[in-house]
Amino acid sequence: MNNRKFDHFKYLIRRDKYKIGYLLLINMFLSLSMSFAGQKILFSDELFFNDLSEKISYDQIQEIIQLTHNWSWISYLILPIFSLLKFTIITSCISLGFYFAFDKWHFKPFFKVAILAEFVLLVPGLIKLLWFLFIQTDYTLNDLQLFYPLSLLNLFEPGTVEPYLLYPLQVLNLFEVAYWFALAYGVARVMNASLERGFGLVMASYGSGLVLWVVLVMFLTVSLS
Amino acid sequence: MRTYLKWAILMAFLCTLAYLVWGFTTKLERKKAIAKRTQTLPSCTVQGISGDTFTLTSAGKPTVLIYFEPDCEHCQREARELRNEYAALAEANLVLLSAAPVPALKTFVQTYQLASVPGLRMAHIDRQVAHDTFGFVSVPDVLIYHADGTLSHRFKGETSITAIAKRL
Repeated sequence: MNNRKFDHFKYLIRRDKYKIGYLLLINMFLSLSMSFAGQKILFSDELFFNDLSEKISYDQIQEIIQLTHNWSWISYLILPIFSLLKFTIITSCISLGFYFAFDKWHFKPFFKVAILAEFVLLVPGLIKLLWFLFIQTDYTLNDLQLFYPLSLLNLFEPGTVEPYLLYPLQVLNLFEVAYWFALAYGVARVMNASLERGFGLVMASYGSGLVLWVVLVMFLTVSLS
Repeated sequence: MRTYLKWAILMAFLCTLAYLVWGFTTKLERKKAIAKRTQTLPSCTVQGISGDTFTLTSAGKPTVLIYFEPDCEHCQREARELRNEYAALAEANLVLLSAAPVPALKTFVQTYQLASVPGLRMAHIDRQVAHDTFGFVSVPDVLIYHADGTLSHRFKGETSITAIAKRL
């Protein structure tokens, strides 16, 4: 990599010193808001009773609901930690790909790209909220767990799909494609290169990481179920 | 040095991926074999808590197998409900299986007064045998067999006695 491009990196890192923090806060605020809205609006006590009454008794359902209410704050605590971990892992994948290609290690500019691209993945969450709020108002716990807009899973009847295939079929969705392009655009800008080059780097780095992650989830699903 | 590092990272990635793919396919094959085997009540000898051993057979009646652990809260609730509503399962052979040691099972029977449930048998089963024969991994796990020994239904997790009775 020539000196002009390396100076471009330094410039980006200096310029984005504070912006990364703000972006991270906005992203986490939106994630938490949607999670909170989903819990309050979609997960009603009635939903638990309708869904579980065939399997467990009334008292047991009440106990589950009580436990869910008592421990829901933990999910709001875990979500930011989980998001931070996710950004770190994705950035590490891209940085590693960059290291393989250019023999240099840069983390911060790619971290910002990962946070910015993540805004794309907030859209399916919002669609899910609106879908069950206005369109499919009669739903079950299973519907909520399996719904992912514009994913391959929508082409199958959920009951006919093996449990270990649910996650890969959810991951294969149009928002994931848009996310890849967002990452590629950001990486290309950071590298001062073409979108094609950025996409190549994202495919080799993030793509490999995603394959490993999906296989790990499938492995755990088969092992623990 | 950098070349070695890159090769090491690449090899670590490929080895992890290969291990996960191998593990996934192996476990999937085993799971399918167990699912096929449990379609009819497998012949399996277990150790009763009074020192006797017996083989699981349908003997012309529906059979309910409940795999549990004495320390599990869900299993304790299940046991409490079983003691109170056992009449719903009066027509079935009821066998509670656990990998816990026999003394712990005896304590469990006393604590939840299960000795008063007619037709109930409590037995110890080796953890590996439980996994290989019935695919028991988590607790509670309920297998319900028809009188002819064919599988009626499998419930994973806490299940009400009413739901079990409906599947007899």
